[in-house]
Amino acid sequence: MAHLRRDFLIFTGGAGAGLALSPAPWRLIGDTALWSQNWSWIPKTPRGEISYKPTVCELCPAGCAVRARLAGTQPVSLWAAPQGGNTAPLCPAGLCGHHLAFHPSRLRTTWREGKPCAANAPVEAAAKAIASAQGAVAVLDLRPGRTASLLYRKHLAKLGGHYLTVTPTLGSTLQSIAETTQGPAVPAFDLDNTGVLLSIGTPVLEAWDAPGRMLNPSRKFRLWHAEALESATALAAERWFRIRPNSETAFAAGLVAAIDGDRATLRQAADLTGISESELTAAAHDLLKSNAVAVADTHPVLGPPARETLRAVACLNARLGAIGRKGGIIGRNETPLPKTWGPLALETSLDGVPDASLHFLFIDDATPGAPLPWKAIASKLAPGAVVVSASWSTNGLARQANYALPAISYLEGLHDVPTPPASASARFALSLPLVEPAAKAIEPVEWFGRLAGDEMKLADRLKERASAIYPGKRGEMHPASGEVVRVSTLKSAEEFWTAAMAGGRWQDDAEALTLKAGRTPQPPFHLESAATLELVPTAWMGADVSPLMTKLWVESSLKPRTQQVFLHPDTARRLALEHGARARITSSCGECSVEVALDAAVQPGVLQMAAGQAWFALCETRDGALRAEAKKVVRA
Amino acid sequence: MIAHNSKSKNARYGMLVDIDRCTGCGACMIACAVENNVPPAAPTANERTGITPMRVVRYEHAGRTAFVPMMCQQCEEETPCVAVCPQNAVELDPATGIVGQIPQRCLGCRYCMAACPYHARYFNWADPAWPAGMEKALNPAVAPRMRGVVEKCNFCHGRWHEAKELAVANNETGPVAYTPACVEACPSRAITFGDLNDASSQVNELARQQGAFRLLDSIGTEPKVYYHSRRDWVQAAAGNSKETHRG
Repeated sequence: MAHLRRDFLIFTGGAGAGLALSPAPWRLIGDTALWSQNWSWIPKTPRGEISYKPTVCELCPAGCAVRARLAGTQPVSLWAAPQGGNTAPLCPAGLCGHHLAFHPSRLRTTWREGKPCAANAPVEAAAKAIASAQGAVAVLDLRPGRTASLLYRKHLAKLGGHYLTVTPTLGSTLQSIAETTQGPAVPAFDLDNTGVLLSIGTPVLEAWDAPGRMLNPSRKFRLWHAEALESATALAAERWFRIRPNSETAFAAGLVAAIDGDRATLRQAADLTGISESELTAAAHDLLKSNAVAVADTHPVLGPPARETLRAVACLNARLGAIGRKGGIIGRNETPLPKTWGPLALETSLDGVPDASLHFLFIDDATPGAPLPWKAIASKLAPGAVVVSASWSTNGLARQANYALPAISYLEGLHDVPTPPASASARFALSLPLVEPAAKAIEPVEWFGRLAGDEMKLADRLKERASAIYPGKRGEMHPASGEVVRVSTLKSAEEFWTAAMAGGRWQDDAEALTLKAGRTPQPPFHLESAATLELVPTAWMGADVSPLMTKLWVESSLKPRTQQVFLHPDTARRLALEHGARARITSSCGECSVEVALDAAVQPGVLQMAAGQAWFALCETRDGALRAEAKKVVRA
Repeated sequence: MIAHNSKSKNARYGMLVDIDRCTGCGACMIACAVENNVPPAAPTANERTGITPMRVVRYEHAGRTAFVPMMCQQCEEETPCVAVCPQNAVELDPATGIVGQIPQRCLGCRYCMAACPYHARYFNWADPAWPAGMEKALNPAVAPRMRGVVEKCNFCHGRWHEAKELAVANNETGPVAYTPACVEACPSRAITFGDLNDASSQVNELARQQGAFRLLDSIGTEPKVYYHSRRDWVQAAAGNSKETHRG
């Protein structure tokens, strides 16, 4: 049988028509769509049984209770956990804290002058420096108040060195009060009974206590806020005093003058703050009637307030009768310490150390990106001094130190969280290790302890501390789930430790101690006028946050970028700058080039820029606070 | 379109954002990215090419500021993106009222982005990438989307699925209650979520109160996201997109 061309065409046509009627081509199209959109390099999500574990956030002193969601053994998200009858949502940094272990800037090996070196090189250098330093040894603790901080003080007492902080353990306001009072009581804010909390430049709703607690609509106190910038705290405050930049001292002094009836100071304060005399007087009288307390605390990103501001705020608190009063600043007990730990080295401010005096400095850079320009540290170092920094990130002070040690990061180790300044009672809570620490990562306090001859692990020390809390049988254990347990009902210290390791938070319930107002600072205060072109920093995307924070800083402009300056359209017109232009800003300390952005919400005469390296280059430490004045602003 | 006295068989999930309570902290944006496996910015990303299914917009008016969380407004019948999609990659789920985006069907034409009056849709210009190791911390309930597709807020559909599975396992029928990530994360409790068809739900009650409004209400898209503000200038701006804003 002959095959004609027609047969071939019929076969081909029939095959084509048959194929079209079969599912094959449609399946092929569907599969092609899937193949073309599911590449092998698209990350696969983790697999494993979903479980939840409680812990405590240790990224700031607020110590929010956290419920970690795990896939297998890996935390895949962190959410606020209800504790003590209150669920306080986490801040943006806390929500993505489980990413820090994978941060691209993670310090993974020991560095010497920015280059990898053997792990024992800093040990040898430190031992040699300590041996020849004759007591000129110090630890700079950038997250004071932890058990690790107490251990540093214990080791330094043995070595005869100094324990240094930038932000005092108690917070700036309470520290200034503590310096004027006597006795064992530790000053603390009694916010549960406060009528009005007057915040003077303090990020009360952003980074002072658990944001969920501060922003909770059912919180009892009313918030008044004085700040030059329209911050989140300013926006949510019941009353916002839009003072001129760097006029916090004048504002507090103005309220004191209004109470004292000092007309001359009141007039001067009104001129400096931009708040009228009548408004200051009315506010002062309202505060007197409202069971009020004033706070001026360190901003974790922008730095501490000026010392003169703290003096004026201490005086204001005394005038308001807030010291030792329910709803004001009361006395609380410390979280107990094991008796065998004493003596401890005294806490000193970094500012208080004489220049060029330190021969060995160990920095526990637990908060890389803290508002601490290297020049503030460098001035304290003697020629040839050895500096060792321990940090999980390469972005902090690791780059400037002689040696940098890779430290374990959040969720990798067992740490405790200090009592926050806004807590009226002592606390003890543990941040639990949920993931394996990175290879080569060390626990900074254990590393330093070995230099002082202490080989004990931090976990063992924490257990010792828990054992010291239990015998008092005071307070309550707030478990991660279930009912609150009184410590007196627990059978042993081991049971107390087990409850703490299960995510429980101990909270003291001892009676408030008597806090007697001592010799508080008195007027007159040194009042300074704002500069013609004042540079004011705002929060920046520090090094210690997840890469996901680009959502706020890069992929939207919710937060200002570090290389941007915001100014009022009138100020821009005066300086002949327009939106999007590049400007070169010169201060007495340095200069930088930034992009100009117009913002009608910025006060005229103010240059608002994100803190960060550009800001550090321009600012100087004046009266304990970082401050910068633009001498010249020209188009770049 | 808010139920007054009945509870429907189907849910119409909706949201109310109290602008007066929003402090612009950005927790909702981060929670959304963590929950939905949205990667950090690609090296070339900026405000226009970044992916922020939930974006807090800073709105200024005469020296005063308001923060407005913006996400897919979950339009009703006249949903512009559904109407223009040539691939049926956008669907309005009658069971939930959620406008869903199906990445496997999306061919990346971006008609939906052009059609969306709220600029609430984002295009994946690059393959999703996380710093080395961080992919281990992704949410197992949500698959990362590939390059070349559009994405947007879907009221955390993964969470709805989990809630639904749990309800089925417990032999429960009808709409399920769940909480999207942004609602759970908001420290100032500015966002309320629930079933608008349920007359007893909090979101239903809040959406009917004085000062509640919807964005660009006059164009008839019937969004299921409501806003609330007692400030006149914020309400006035709701229908006016010409004001300057940063965000």
